[in-house]
Amino acid sequence: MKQVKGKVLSNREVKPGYFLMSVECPPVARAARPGQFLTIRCGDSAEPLLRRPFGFHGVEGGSFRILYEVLGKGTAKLSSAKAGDTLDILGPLGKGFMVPEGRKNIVIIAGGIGVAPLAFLAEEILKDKKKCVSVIIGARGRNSLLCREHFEGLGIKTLVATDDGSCGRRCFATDLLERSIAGKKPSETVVYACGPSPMLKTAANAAKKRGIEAYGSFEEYIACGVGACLGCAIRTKSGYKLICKDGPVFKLEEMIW
Amino acid sequence: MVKPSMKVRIGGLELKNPVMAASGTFGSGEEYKGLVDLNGLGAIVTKSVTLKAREGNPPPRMVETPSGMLNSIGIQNDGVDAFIKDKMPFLDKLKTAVVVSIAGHCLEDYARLAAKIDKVKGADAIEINISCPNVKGGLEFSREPGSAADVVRAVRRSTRKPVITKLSPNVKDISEIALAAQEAGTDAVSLVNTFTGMAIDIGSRMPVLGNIVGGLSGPAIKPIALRMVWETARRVRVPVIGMGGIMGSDDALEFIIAGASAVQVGTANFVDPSSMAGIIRGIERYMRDRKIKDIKELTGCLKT
Repeated sequence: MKQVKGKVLSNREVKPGYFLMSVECPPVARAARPGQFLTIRCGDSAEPLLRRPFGFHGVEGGSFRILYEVLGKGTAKLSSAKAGDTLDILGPLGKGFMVPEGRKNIVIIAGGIGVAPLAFLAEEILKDKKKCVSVIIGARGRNSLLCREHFEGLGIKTLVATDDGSCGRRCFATDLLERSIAGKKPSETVVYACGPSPMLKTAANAAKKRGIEAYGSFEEYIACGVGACLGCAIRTKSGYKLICKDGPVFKLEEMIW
Repeated sequence: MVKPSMKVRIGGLELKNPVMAASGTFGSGEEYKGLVDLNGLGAIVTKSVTLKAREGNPPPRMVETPSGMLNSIGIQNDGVDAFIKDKMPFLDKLKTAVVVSIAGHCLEDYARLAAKIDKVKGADAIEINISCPNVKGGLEFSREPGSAADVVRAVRRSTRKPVITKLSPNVKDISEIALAAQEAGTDAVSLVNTFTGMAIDIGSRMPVLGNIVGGLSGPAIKPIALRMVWETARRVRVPVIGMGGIMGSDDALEFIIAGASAVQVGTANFVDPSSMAGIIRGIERYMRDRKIKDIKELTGCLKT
């Protein structure tokens, strides 16, 4: 974990309201693992005040990528950053995804912008040629569907569910998950999820029903990012855990919804 | 020119500089190891401990508001015994002053906590938190001068270590509470804790915080905090430790000029972990530029 300056290499709108930013920042990029996150100070004034958290979307040598949705003042400000601008970066933070031994079937399910950290995870897992990765992406519609080409470019079988049916099937991503894990051996399968809370809950139940291990990456407002302020607590079966330090990735069966 | 003296005295406690990490924003220091030069700080005030472990308030516990943030952590901690066993060994090794913040439900709690911390090596002083807005009864002791004095007396009788009393701004006249704490034997007062506030999600029509209300901190509260520090410093003899929205050295200097002997930095640590180092450098630069040899010359030098 370091607080360092990073240089924006590029920052472009990939879909309306969604930006892909690449930042040169070797100390952070080299240490980053899939599932971990960083925080960026968006501006230098009291508005917005707190740093904003982003999961690593990918790493290439000394630079990392983030994929983000413009949702509020922080991300709006970040979206105006230009190549060459300097950013105040804190990271990598939190614990990343665990890949349990002996699991060859990797099922990834993403909802909306939740796809961002899972793309990094898929790339890492694919380095092991014995693994078979499949991806399910859920989105509101064609204009908010992210990373499909990215996954397909990696040779990953990618299923799409949209709310309006403008792309893929008109259903929930979790409907596709149920079908996708139906015939798989629990001991050889693991599910990774990131997205809105209702999606994570449904994915947790689907995996549990078949005895399949599942992990999810969670979100909450973050203040310190290092486990000091205790502001990002989330309820688990073993008491409150901190998203910034104990997570953001948790075993789904551990969560209290 | 010789290096200006940044040393300040809070009761029997000597600090190498007047910049302290505020309780609740800096954990027990270890969380910031490798990120912040802990030994460069004037002091670390640890997250409040209670006699028994507390699991804290339901989430969400934190939300940003215009130029500030609301929190309702609810003093989540593992209890004083676990704190002494797990957190103090690290703090004891630091070459910076360690102030242990304590919070109780009744006078006996405060007395027992103080007696325990009194025996702990590496704990240089005690800060009495009688001003947490996020736990049931947390504010009660700081609302009236009499009850604040009772807590201070209970702690004073249980320890020989310097005692700082942290005051709530959610009162009619904070300087009255400060005077009462002084008469009861506190070595210093620190102010202000957070202002109670709330935020509502108009979509769901529900409060944003799990606890409904929380404490407001950050730049949004600075002018009010500054006014309270000024009003208090004029009335008390004991040192005043000022805080509330200090983000940079200019803010810290305002508090010192208003009458603070030292300052605490809280929310700024979240925004930029290097804030306190920058504030210490900035104060020193201000002193050099104006040929001020001792920080004590600045405390309360407001021209009116």
